[in-house]
Amino acid sequence: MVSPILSRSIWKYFFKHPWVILLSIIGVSIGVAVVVAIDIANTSAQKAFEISVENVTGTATHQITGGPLGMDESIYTDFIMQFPEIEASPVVEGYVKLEGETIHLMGLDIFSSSYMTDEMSGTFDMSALSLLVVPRTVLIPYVMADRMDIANGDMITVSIAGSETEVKVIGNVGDEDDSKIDGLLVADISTSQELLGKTGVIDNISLVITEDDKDILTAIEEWLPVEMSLISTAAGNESTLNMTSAFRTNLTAMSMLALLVGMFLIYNTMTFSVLQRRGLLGSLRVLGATRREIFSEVLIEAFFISIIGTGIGVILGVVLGQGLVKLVAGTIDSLYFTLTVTTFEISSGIFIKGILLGVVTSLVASFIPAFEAAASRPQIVRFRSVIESLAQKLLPKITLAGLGMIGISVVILFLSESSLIAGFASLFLLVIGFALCVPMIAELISKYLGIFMNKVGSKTSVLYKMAVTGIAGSISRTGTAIAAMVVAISVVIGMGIMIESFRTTVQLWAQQMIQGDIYVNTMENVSSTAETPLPYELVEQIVVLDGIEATKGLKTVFLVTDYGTLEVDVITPVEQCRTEYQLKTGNDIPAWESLKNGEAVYISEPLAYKHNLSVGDAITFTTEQGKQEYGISGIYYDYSSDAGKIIMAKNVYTKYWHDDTIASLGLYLEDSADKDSIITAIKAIVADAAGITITDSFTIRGNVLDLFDRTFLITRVLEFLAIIVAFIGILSALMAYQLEKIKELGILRAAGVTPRQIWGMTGLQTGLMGAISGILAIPLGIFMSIILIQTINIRSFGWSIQMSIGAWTIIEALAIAIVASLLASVYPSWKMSKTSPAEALREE
Amino acid sequence: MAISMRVRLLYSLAVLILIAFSSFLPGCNCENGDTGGTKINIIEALSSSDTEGYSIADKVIDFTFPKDHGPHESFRNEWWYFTGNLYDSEGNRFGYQLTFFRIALSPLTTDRTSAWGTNQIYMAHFTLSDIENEKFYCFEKFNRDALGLAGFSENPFKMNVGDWYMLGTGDGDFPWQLYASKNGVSLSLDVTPLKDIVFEGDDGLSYKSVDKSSASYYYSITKLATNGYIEIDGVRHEVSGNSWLDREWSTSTLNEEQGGWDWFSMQLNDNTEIVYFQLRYKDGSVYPYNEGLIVNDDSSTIKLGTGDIVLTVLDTWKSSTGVTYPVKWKAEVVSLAKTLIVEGAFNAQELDLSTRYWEGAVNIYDAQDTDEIIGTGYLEMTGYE
Repeated sequence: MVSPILSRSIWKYFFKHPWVILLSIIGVSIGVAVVVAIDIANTSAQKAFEISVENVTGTATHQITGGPLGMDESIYTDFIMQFPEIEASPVVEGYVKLEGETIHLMGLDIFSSSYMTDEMSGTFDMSALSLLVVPRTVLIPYVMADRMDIANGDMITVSIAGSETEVKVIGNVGDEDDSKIDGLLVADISTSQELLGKTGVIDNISLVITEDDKDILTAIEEWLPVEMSLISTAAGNESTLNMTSAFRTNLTAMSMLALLVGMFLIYNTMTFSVLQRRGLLGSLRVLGATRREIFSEVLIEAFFISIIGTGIGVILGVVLGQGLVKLVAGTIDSLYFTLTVTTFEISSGIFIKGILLGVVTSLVASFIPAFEAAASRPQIVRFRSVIESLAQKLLPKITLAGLGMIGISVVILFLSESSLIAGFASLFLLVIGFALCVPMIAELISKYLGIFMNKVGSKTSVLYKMAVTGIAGSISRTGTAIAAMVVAISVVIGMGIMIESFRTTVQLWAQQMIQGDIYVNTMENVSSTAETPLPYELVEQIVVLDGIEATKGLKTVFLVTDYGTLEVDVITPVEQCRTEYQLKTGNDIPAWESLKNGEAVYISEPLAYKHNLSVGDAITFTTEQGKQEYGISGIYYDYSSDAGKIIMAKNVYTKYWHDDTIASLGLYLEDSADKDSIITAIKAIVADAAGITITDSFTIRGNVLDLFDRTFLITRVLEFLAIIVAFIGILSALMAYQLEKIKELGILRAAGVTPRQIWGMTGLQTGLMGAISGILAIPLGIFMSIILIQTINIRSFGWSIQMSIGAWTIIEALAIAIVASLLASVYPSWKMSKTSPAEALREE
Repeated sequence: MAISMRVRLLYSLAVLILIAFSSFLPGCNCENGDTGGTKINIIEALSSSDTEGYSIADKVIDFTFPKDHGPHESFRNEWWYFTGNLYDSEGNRFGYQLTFFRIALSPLTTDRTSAWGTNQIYMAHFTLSDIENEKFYCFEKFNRDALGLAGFSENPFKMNVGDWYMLGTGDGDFPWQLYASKNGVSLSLDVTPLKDIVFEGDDGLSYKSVDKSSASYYYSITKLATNGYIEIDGVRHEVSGNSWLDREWSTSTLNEEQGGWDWFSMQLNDNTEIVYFQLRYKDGSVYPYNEGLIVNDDSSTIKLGTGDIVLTVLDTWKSSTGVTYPVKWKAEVVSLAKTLIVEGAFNAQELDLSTRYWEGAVNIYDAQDTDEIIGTGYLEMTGYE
């Protein structure tokens, strides 16, 4: 047990030195906050994602799907006549905009229930009856009605593929307090067909086959027309949900990286807070405090600090998490799936994780200092030289351990084939291993710099030499501080290089990919399986305009293949766009020829990586005329989708899916043509047609980068958080170190050193430590980015990224290191220069 | 009679579908007591007296067949009501009910580009009573009159709700085929009239209330020779026997005082049939308006009115749903000076579907000699709670 007197004497110390406690608390809280925030953002976004996916598939176990344009509605009648005992419901759905939000319009047949999610069944208002007979009537979830202030009977304006139309809200759906049903409009299938322009067509038939009855499934498969597929929604949903798993793993790992920095931070501050009181603790030992008492006192102290820090951290994390949710959801939305729901999920699990991380990390971090404080004999604990000589002995061992960890990291990296977790394990080992080597390197630098200064220095530089060699002299303190700083800065560098490389790669890719001069696009997509087509008569008028050398039609659709439902860019393969697709493998010209002739398709790099496909392999499509196999003639770079994409010639698509429409038109102009006047001419043709945009290539490229920036905003924020953690880490590490040295400086002051010289010494020493950290962080940061780019990124997304190390990233990191360290010297120097030498000595 | 009550039944059902349709759609096997979901009070749920825009049954018309066998969409409600008693080769008796209901959700047809847009919906009820084993099976289906999911076609003469159908020869000639199947219980029958079409009320204009303020068009074929098979749990029984067809369409509804009805259809062994109904007030007492017919051997009819048959409850049965039904009746047919006993072939013939009522096969005895069954028929009782 700890005696009250002992406790009091120690707490009194904290009141005298609020900075120490403050820095410790900040260190803990930031580490915890980042982890909690990312956790909340991840969980919430995933929840929203799951609900959105479920809202689309409902409780259906299977789906019958047709081509990207859906299937003839009469198939539904045929089906229920053939399989009357199977719960089957037709679905006509799409996306519309309401007050700027993307809303899922669900057209259902109220006589067949399987499409409805559990939350919705049995809760229909009686007014639902009117859905059937009154055109353009919808039901709206209670939460959404509340949120948007929409009452029953209200007319609301929705935008469908860019044109606005009014529908009448005649009732509510869902439970009054069920927030899960949001972003949804429920209509009768007739209204849905009419609004979405899908008359005569249904998107799919949802089935509920309670037990996985193989006989029934086989019977359905046999009965199905060749152009249709029977898909298990469970498997479909799972693969949809799995799409984001790599993305989420990355975010979690990034937050762990932040925590790792936080751990160093906590360890560092705790060490200093203990060691700074070496004298006090030693005296207490002399006065009869037992080892156990000292040990538990230090741990209790760490515990209180960690509780306060964790508490603040959790609150901070929740606040931060709310902001991050939007960013993560935004990324999922633009990369993976249209989210119609936003949720904010806080589970007790997140809190427990955050609290454990904060408390346990702090306790572990203070365990060594506590042990050190308690283990030494009373009289010896007061002498730092003893600790330093011990540290000197330990240094080679620590360095060796560090080198060993780096070695293991490299081995894991090369042995693990595509495991993402192994990639991260390797990354973490590298960081920790490198951090362990840092004290030794720092010591060497300090020593040799001292020797160098000896040779060239004048007499006045003795003090500065002291400052420099002091780093090596108290390596037990400076080593930890520098290691913590290296980790912090390297994370900033590593993430910075990764983002910059990625962005540069995408920029170059966009440059290559978008060679047309003018693009005419449809704006809003209604269907989730095919882009909204451009009106045929407009296209006809545009393509004959003077000054146009070639036109490329494009439409993105989703087709069923033997690798699942995949995104396919259907293009008119004019010669001008051949070079737009940069091939990773495959011979450019013959590959293009076979694509053009409809013999083969291109697949994107992530698709090839995911399914281990190469040129010469084949993909089988379910077409309107049964299964058709296409060879792969090229694998092209693409950064627009991590699920992978396919390029297919339009003649093939039109022939096998009976769809002759295009959704965007790329125009390649003659050299002599006047772009502005052509744009004016197109605008005149398009005139009032809603939902069509005309853009030039510059804007599109800009849009690509905007999208990139939006998508990776979350990564930027993480980088920013890492910078803050690094900054505070450096600040606290160095400040604690210098505060500890105040006594030493007191002696120097007594020996006649001026405050000005003190400022100089302290500044030089911390600045040097900052600089050493900054410089050592550069190689670690670069190695980290190499692992992030070459391993983590490829294993997560399958994207090749050209490494580009921007000078700015490194300058930024160095600047952070140096500014933070100089700033760290301000308070101790100021304090020292204000204190009279006598007073400083008295403290001793 | 059953007529306007059935109108209400239909309406409340239509509403019900939408209140809790998902739990009812699969239908229930009454034998297993597999019900679920909430029930509504038929009478209370019905309140719409807004008949504007619909055709009204307010004058005597000339019926033409087969045209009038088909739907009359400008009226709000209509049904094709088959019931019957059948026997297999071993003498086992089965009762069945197959009813197609048509409901107009609005008087107007809107011009829609979507084929799914319609103002007509259909519902069907299918029950089978295994009398030897005292097992009762009942199911229901709904669908809209669109894309062949439900509805009527003139040629071939066919009405369906999903895969359940009634199919005539050519444009409506008999025999008609009846088919329904669900969860291993099936019915496939050919029905051919043994009697002419008979018209209720004033030449088929059948009133529902004392002041004759509401009416329906109502005709019946009281005896149809029936052959075919039924299937229970995969066991097939070739069956034959007699069926009864009730056809009715209207727009007007019951008045607000009425709380339920008891409807009797009796096929006597002497080749006469009797149909009679009794309306009840909400408090359960008898409403003073009755209608009925006696159909003679030669299809000639005797009209029955209020008080022509005196009904007395002899016994009741309480269902597991908690509702008590009078399952045994004494019917004094005044004009024939005959007293009949009408008793459920077995008690548990309650349809616990989206709306709850009792409709089942009955045995008919002479009150003087209750040992011998002198006829069979169907009894429908609604509005009991």
